[in-house]
Amino acid sequence: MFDRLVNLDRRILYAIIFVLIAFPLISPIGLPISVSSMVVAAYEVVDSLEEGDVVAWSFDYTVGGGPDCHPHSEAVWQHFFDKGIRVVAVSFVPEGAQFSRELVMLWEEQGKVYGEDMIDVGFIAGFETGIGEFVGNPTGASPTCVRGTRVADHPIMEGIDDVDDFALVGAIATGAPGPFEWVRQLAGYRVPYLPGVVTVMGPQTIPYYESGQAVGLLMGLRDAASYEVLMERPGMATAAMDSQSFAHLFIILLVVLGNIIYFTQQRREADNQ
Amino acid sequence: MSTDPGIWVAGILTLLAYSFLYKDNKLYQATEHLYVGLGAGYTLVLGYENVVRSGWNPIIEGEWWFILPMLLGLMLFGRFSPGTRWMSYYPMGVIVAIGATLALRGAIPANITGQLSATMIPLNTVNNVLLVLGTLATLTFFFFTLGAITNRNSLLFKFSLLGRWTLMVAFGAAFGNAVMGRTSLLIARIQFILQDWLGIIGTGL
Repeated sequence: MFDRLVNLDRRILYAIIFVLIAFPLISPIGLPISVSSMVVAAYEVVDSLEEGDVVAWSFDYTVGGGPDCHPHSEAVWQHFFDKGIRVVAVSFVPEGAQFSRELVMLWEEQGKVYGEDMIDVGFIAGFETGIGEFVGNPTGASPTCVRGTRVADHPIMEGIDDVDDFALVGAIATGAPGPFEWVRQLAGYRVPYLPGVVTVMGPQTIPYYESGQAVGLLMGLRDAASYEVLMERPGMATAAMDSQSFAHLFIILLVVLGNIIYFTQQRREADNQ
Repeated sequence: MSTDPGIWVAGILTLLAYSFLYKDNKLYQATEHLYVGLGAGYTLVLGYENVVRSGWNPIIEGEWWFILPMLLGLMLFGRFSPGTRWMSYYPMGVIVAIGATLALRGAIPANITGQLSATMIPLNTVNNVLLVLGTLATLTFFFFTLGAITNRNSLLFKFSLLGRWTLMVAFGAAFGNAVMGRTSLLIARIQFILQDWLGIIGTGL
């Protein structure tokens, strides 16, 4: 039997994974979602902000990592606007500007006023150099917003001279620039920093939360779902969690099975010798 | 089912991209090239917009000093010809100097003192003890110059083995996260096909 499993066509495994993911999406089961302390901390920081506060939100993710990262922005922006917090969107990754544009337009349709409740500064070139410029001079790092108006002329930017004038800086990243660059550039400033990362980057980013350099941490789709749970507003991230659990269970099964087969074959070869 | 042509194009391209899982084929290759081309085109347009927005427009509005970075940017193109390559060295020097200065300014508090102080914690919980022991053991694993570390019977060598196990646990966590991340990407595409394209599932729970 083990030999048959070893030689199993991998396309069968792909098909099983597809079914395991698609089935709970079509027919949700509602498995419980645990919430990590890092997500709770992120939620509490946002929840402690006051109406009218201005936060900076950086979309430093690519299209490839978007499905893992964009739900962070969607969930936290929902929380921001529920509380009347104003948002300055910016991006230090070219593709990130597409996501910020999309989210700003979505909230405009919901009645938020561009320039007062939110603005989109757009893409600022230079990666870490760009972040350094924005941190020191948010209104001057890019002279105009994506709609051609001077950034400094928007009412939302009134009183914003450096990054410490923001109530919070959130930055969601799929790579560089990411938490490493942001923590370096925010050194010496007092503004709370909330990173969100693609799941793969999670273990590298946790030390910044443990050291207090980040006030919370969101890792991948799972934490977006946790954030939705805390807000009591289940969305697409929450809906995806059953699929994620099913896929993980199957992968764990494969890893265990693979190890059993490996050790069994090793023993068999040793016996034959 | 969606009536938006954009959704249909995205849905079909998603299926073509996944057709690679069955076997490599021309349609998959065409999709791959299309993706690379779109990415390059998008970045080019955004770069152009960025130069106009952050460089050209301020010059027209009288902020003439923006000519300097624009000039430095143009000098970068000098590297495409051997005769003018020298021109690109100056803007490159500026970029490296500014980049290095900015990175170094925050590197020590961000990555050294900040992390060191985070390890100086009271050993009153299991987590704290594990964190301190794991950090010290991992650092010990990377001592290559001490004689004691090469002696397999020494306490230092045994302690470095704990460091190796700590590293293995960290790699395991990283692999687990990688699997979770890739699964999330697949879920998002299947969600797109079933919800946005085919309309089989509704929005949210």
